[in-house]
Amino acid sequence: MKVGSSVNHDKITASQFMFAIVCYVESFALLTAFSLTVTHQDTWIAFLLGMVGALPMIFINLYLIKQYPNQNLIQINRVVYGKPVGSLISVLYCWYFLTLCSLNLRDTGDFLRMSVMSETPSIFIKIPFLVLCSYAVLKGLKIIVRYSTVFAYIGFFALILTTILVSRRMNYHNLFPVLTTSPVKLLQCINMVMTIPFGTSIFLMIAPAVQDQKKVKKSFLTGFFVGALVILIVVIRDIVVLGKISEELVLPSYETMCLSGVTETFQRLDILYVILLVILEYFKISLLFYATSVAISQLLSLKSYKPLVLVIGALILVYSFIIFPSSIVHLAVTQTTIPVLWLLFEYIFPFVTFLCTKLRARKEVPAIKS
Amino acid sequence: MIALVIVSFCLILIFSLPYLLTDKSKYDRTVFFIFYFSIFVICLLEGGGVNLPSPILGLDELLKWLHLSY
Amino acid sequence: MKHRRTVAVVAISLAICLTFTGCWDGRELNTISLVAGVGVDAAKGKSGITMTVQVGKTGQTNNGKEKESPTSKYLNYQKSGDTELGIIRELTHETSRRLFFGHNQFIIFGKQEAEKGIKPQLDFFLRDQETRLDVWLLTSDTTAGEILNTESDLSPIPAMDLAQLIANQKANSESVETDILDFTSKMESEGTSPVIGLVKIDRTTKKPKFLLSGMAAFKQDKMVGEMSEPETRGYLWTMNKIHSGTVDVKVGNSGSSLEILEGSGKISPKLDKNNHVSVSIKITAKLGIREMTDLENVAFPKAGMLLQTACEETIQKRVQACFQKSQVYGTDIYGIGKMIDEKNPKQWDSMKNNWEQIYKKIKPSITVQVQVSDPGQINQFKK
Repeated sequence: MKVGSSVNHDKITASQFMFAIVCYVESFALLTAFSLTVTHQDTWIAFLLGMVGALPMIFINLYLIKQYPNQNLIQINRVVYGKPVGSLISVLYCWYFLTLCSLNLRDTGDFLRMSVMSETPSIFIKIPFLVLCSYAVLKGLKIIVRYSTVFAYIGFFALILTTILVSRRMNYHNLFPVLTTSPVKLLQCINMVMTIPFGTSIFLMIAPAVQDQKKVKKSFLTGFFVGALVILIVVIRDIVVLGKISEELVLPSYETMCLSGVTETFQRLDILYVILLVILEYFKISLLFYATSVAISQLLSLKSYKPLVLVIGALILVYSFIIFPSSIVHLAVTQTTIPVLWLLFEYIFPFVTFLCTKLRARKEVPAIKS
Repeated sequence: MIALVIVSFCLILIFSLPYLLTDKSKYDRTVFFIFYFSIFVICLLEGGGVNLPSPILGLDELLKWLHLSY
Repeated sequence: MKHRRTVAVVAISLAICLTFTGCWDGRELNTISLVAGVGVDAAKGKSGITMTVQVGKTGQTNNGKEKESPTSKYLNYQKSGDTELGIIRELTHETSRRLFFGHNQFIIFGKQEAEKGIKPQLDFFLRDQETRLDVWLLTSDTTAGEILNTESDLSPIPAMDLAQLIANQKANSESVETDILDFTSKMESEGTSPVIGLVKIDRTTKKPKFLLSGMAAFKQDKMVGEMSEPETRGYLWTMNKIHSGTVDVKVGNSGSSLEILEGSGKISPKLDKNNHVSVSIKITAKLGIREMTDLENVAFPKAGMLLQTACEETIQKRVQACFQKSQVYGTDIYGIGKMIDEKNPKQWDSMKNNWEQIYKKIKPSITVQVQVSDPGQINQFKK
């Protein structure tokens, strides 16, 4: 492969890959409000079922990684669909990663504005954030995921600590009655959960960089399960502590942290949680930023993705302002349209690619035999 | 706002130069400048206060018209 | 390598200096005034509300230089208006410092306002970014403004004293503490009614002071009635929220006092097919004799038994009284409806519309088991 020579130099270890997935999935703790407003106290059931629903697609992705070693999503599309159709699908994926990145940047800015900095215009938060992400992306994938291990561990530790700190406010009766939400709402939430936190097609862009391709399967699955478990615990904790009001809060996990405290000293530790969430969002945005840059540069057959990074950064920034006029529209669209739209990218396209690959393998076998 | 856009795009050009110069491919530079100027225009419009349409909202309307959303 | 380390250290220091100040949100302590307590009353005459905000005076410590220090370190602002945020912004015409609600200890609702319904007023406290979900809620038996204007001897800021008083109610277990989170959860659930602690003004002494006693029962967000201290104790027994306190009994002519060492209560509703609800309340308590008079003629083990029976009766009466009062008001303060919903959601759906009528007909069966565990430091004060 001629294109993307600087991409192939970047190698990451399998454990870094695993922790990158953990951080990526864990960062959804910021956005649990999307699902809590739909299914209320049954949200944890939707998450469990969403985990199960996401598994087939993870196995399809793993199959594609194995069939096309050291080739990322754009290259796979080109091989499977041929140049014209493959390029079209790749253009759609570039738009998809760009949109994901802008949405996450928008969420981070809104979160900081709503929780701690209510008067600072979000642009002054987003510009330094993006500068840091651009620096990481320019230096390469290795730098982006280097600290994922540390922050994944900090995330676990913070989860355990915060759960202990709010334990005196937990009321398990808030989880009952179970399964009283309508099946349509449950399906809507499962769809949302399958596509937004558990949508892992971005890792098809990053998996080729793993040094030991044999360990990719194990790392992918472990990372996914660990991240999903963390999110599940966060959701259950929020429902159990906040009760009915969790359906109406915009930032339920932040409010849970506001209520935390054991003695007079260890009170109101929400600011530490804010810092942790911002760090996890940094990982997610950097990974998506990297994926977008690499996708665009591979699509256009550029020698290296690095010149375009800063320009794409500007595009992500301006896109994050255009994308939704307000957070009310953001909530409405994320709950209704986005799950369906993201299904196309996370499930339908990989599935079709999988089928084409299988058919091609079947065609080749009789050709060899004869 | 527009001043901020202009200043930041100058900075982007300055910081992207090292990567451009190592490339030595005309095609790469052309692509870079196409992106640079189109995104510059978008940012100027947004900084100038023009309400740019959002692709997601457009798709949202489309899916609602097709009755494909919840 | 050294060069990189210096750059890293400088970068981190710059980042900390520039970002930890809070950017445009940075507020210096001398530009804000810390709100310690908020009171909401119905506005006199016209519609709308009157808000009273108690603010602590921060700042100058005298370092012993001035011999006379100011006696009061608080300030009450009061204004009327239609919405709470409107009133707070109106106050900026008067206050030189911006009001900061992050350390607000409680919100008191005046009796009139509580009877009208407090949901519209709670919206601001839930929606605003500075206010927190764990502020205490209190109802006053007069107006909130009066409570906030009452001075306290123990603390220069009365609101802090009242907040400490709320925390200390565990010692007598005759008052409830509710915060916004609990109240809103119970208000929005169909099978529960919330309760809020009552604060009154004691005018029997020369200087009026506040006292917390009893609770107010709410139907959704409107206050429907008050409950006295013994009834509140009955409520706490049933809800398993007893911490400490005394049970005062009278055996014959003598009065004795037993301290509650441990107490637990369980309320279990049972639903049969005809939507008939039966409730059983089981209370167990471990008491210790702390004061015993006039029982010297009785042999000590028998005296213990007499006290035990007397305590069981007293506790049963209180639990019964509370349940009956709640039935009179038609408020399901125990959450029986919610418990039924948890186990039999389908049957609850058919019952929830006339739950009040069903609740009023419930006859609870109350069993109390008391164990008098220790007599204190002496057995019997012989003549």
